[in-house]
Amino acid sequence: MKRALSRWVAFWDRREPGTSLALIRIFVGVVLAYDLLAAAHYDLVQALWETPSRGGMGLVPVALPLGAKATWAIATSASVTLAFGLFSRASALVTLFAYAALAAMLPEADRGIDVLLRNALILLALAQGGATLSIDARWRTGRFVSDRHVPAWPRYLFVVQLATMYFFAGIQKLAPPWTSTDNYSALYFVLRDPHYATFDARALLDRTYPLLQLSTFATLLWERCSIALPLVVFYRETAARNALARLFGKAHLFSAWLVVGALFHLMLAVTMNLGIFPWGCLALYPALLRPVDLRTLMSRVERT
Amino acid sequence: MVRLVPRARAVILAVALALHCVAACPIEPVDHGLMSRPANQRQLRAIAAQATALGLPHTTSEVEARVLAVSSAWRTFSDLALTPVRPFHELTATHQRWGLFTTASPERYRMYVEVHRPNTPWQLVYRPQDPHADELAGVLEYRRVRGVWNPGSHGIRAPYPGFVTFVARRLFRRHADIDLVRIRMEKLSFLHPGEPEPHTAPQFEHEEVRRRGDVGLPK
Repeated sequence: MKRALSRWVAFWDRREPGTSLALIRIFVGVVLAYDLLAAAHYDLVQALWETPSRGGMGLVPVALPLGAKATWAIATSASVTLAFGLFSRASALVTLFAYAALAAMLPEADRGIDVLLRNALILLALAQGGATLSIDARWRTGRFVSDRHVPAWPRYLFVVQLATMYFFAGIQKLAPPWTSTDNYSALYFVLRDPHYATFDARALLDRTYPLLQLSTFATLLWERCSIALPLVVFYRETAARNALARLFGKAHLFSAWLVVGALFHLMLAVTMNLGIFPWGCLALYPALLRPVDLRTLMSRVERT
Repeated sequence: MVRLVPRARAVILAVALALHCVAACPIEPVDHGLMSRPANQRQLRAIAAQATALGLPHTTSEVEARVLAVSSAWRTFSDLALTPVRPFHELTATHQRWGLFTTASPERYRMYVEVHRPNTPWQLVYRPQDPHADELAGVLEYRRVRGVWNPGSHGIRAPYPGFVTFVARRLFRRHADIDLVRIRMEKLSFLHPGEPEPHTAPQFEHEEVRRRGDVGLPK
């Protein structure tokens, strides 16, 4: 018991180069800034976040303390500074609260991906995500890239966040089209929904129905397998040698999960009009890679 | 002190992870009304049949009673456990309840945005996936706006009338000659491949009409 507790303490005390956390910071900042700028591009700031008396769509009668435009401007600026790594932690915190204020004005316009990104902002406010690939690093060391080691635990919490989201989304898929009761027809119906599907491909969907049934089952399996993700990552991080760790390693469970996840989101981006959802989820994927994996990946890219 | 920090952090993170798990477990309120829906009754019958096949004979109503009891007990526990962190979740507008396309129902809608000019029939200006009716497509398909007008599993959303007013105002400003804007939802009922399509007239729901005066513009 004492040994297990020591290992638990040691695990959360691990340090590593800040590359993975820096990539999450950059991607989250870019995704948020893109989405908020899109709202302005369509001239929706007032419609989405003002009171009904000032032309807003929502039902909240009390205006934001700083007004919709100022709050939007703060959220957008802070997400840009977050991406650039300028006052990284403060930027994450400011973005979080400005974004939360916007969410309160029209909850229907605040989707699951917004909640996920706010959860990510909480972790980024706690993490040292500006240790490298940032203006903060440039100020501190004279270079944009730094090898300074930072606590790894925020990255592990990102892994837990991803696992939680996928697993609980998976186990809540109990409606008949997601089960054998209705022949795993969920993706067929989802991809026919004119409000979400990128294009009307009924003929193609009819022809590929068995493949869609298989994909429905694969989606469920992948999401429900996510519960094992923190354990798999733990074994990878600690280079554990027990039987379960060896089994996971032999089955290439981690690589398989990662590839399926990335493909799943890229397919969603192509076939469905979901806005930032696929990109917001993928923004957290660097958490699954150790800085050493990223270095290996980069040297492979450079060689090719 | 040096050894205390990692220990304190490990304890705090253990508590945070435990609360995280409680917050993530589905706690949707379940009642008899929800259980009475045909799809849920079908699911309950399937569970009862599976339990019976495994040697645990259950009727559908027994399964329903168990589901209601477990749901109620879990809700009470999670409400209590999450009390200390609820203000933080409210302040940051965060939670851990994830449901992505949980229903995937074959019952869907397609929105129609139409405008009317005096002495002419209604003209369709926007319908999803219709290249001939794509006015304001960028605005209407922006994910936040769609979140307002796209009916959910509980039907139309509360700000839908405000959305109709917003769209009408934009269209009235673009087209000086239109006198009415109408938004309505065509009810779609998808079938499985190979099932014969019934030839019925389109059915519309949630129809809302706005005049210029309704949206604060001069008539």
